[in-house]
Amino acid sequence: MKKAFRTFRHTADIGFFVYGTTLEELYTNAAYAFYKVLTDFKPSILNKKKKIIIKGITKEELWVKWFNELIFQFEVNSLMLFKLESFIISKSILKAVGYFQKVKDIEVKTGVKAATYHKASVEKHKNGFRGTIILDV
Amino acid sequence: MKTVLEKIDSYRYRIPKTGNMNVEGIIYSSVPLIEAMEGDESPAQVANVATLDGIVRYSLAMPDIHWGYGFPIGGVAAFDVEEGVISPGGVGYDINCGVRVIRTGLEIEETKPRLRELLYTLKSKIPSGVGSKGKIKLSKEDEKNVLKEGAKWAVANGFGNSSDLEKIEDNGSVPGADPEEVSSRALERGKDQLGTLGSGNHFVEVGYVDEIYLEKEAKIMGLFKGGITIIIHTGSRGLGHQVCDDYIAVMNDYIRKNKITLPDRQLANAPIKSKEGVRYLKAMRSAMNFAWANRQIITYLTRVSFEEHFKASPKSLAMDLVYDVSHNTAKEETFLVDGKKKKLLVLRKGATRAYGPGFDIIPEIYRGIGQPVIVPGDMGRCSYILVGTQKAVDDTFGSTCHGAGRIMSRSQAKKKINAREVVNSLEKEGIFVAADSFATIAEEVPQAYKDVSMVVDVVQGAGISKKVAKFKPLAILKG
Repeated sequence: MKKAFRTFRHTADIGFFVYGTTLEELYTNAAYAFYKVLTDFKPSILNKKKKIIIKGITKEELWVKWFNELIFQFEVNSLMLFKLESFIISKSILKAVGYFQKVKDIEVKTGVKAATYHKASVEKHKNGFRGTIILDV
Repeated sequence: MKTVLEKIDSYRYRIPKTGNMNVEGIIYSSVPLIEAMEGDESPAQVANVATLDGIVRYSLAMPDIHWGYGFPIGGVAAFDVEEGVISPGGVGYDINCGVRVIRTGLEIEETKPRLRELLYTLKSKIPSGVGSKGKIKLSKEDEKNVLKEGAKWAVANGFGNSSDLEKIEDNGSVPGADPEEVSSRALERGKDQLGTLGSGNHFVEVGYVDEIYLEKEAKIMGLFKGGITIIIHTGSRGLGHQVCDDYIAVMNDYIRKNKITLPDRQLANAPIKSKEGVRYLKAMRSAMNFAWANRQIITYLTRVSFEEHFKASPKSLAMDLVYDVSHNTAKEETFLVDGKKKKLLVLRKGATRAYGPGFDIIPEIYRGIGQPVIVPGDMGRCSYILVGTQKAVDDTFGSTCHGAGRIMSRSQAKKKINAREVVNSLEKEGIFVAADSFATIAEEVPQAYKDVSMVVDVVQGAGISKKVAKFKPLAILKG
């Protein structure tokens, strides 16, 4: 099975390479990478549907803002993404419908303050895409 | 390409001015600390900061330097307020992360017997860990008042004494904050988090004074050998993180519109006097005030815990705030530049203000000895309290180190080290640790950090701070 993501060394924070054969898969795997840092809990019940719209000028900006959206939804609304549908992405806008689970009292391993722009990138890679991100924890 | 370091003297290394650098870089360090930095990208980050417009004299780093994003952690840079730039990455996500020390009249022998109970009382009263929500429910109006008033708001609402305020940088409330420049998203993140410790390297640590180096200074601070102390380390929580993220996006827009090239996107900036710069500073000051209110409320909760445990009032336990310092800030300060007084914006990202004796910004009680500087170490070794010096004012824009500095990434620490074994071994030494998860402890083990004594020896040797006392830990509540 193809790897969804792998970590790389960063002294104080956590860095990831995320993979996907399509951009939709890349962004979904980005959520898995983020949650793997956060908790061992895996969302399985879909009880919240949300329209997601993220705007940015560059694809890197969209990428960073995606992680920051996931951080916000978890921290403020206790929501963990299970899957994406109706995913549309261009250079400057991402639109999707996210199916989330509202979680309560799960064990959280590591707090994530934000996704940073340091080394953030999305590029074509082999037969798909690779995204790079460093999370400030 | 490896960054060239030239040794200046026993405690300083120069990065020569090359390429697009406007000034040279200077790293305060020692031979063993430099050797331990192999593979760390922080020297390159010091060089990158030196390329920013309006930077004055040099791009600095303290001996706890390690790889950040954009700016290194441990970085100090001062900018001409008329011509210079402001970069949110130069302050960091955890705006006004900082640390305070509370002294008490308690001694080790009366505290040690029921340490575990004391720790669990603290844990029950101080919300900690990821996503922890505070017991204080803020209305929108209240939250905006916190952002304007900082620790003053906390004291006015019953969380501590007015005498605490003078022992905090800027009296715990910096002017020029404007909550209207803080996004609704940041307010959302902050509203349930006031009075919470957070996670990662945040903590409340009960310890004791192990050694005194400067008797007069220690006496003025109320410290005595064997005396119980409490160190509190936390910041502006999700509100601060969001402010930083919001304004990096604003600065990115500015950079794009003005076709400015940067060595690292995380250095996105705008002139201090620009609309974008002014807005960021107003929002950043709001977040600074939130952090001070946060530390003040945690101090109150700590006093309540001690009162419950020892069945005595905080006043009778002499639980007095020694000082509260900030690590991630941008402050307007005046320094001599080429013989003339000049107003500069000093960015300290993982660095501490360290003014020497005689300055009005230091509380009167400490004006004769210099500003207290608190440098926490890891949970197994020790922490220090020092005083700032005139040499710091002359050489480092009144700055010194802030902690031990990491040498091992979090994922390495979790892979290589068994947290349970570490906890057991600390307990055998009489040190108790409580946390929401073992993963947090694994990431924060002593082996993941530089030896803070080595870091402090550099600032002492360089003359930019002087050791007053060493603290050793007894019980630690990790975030």
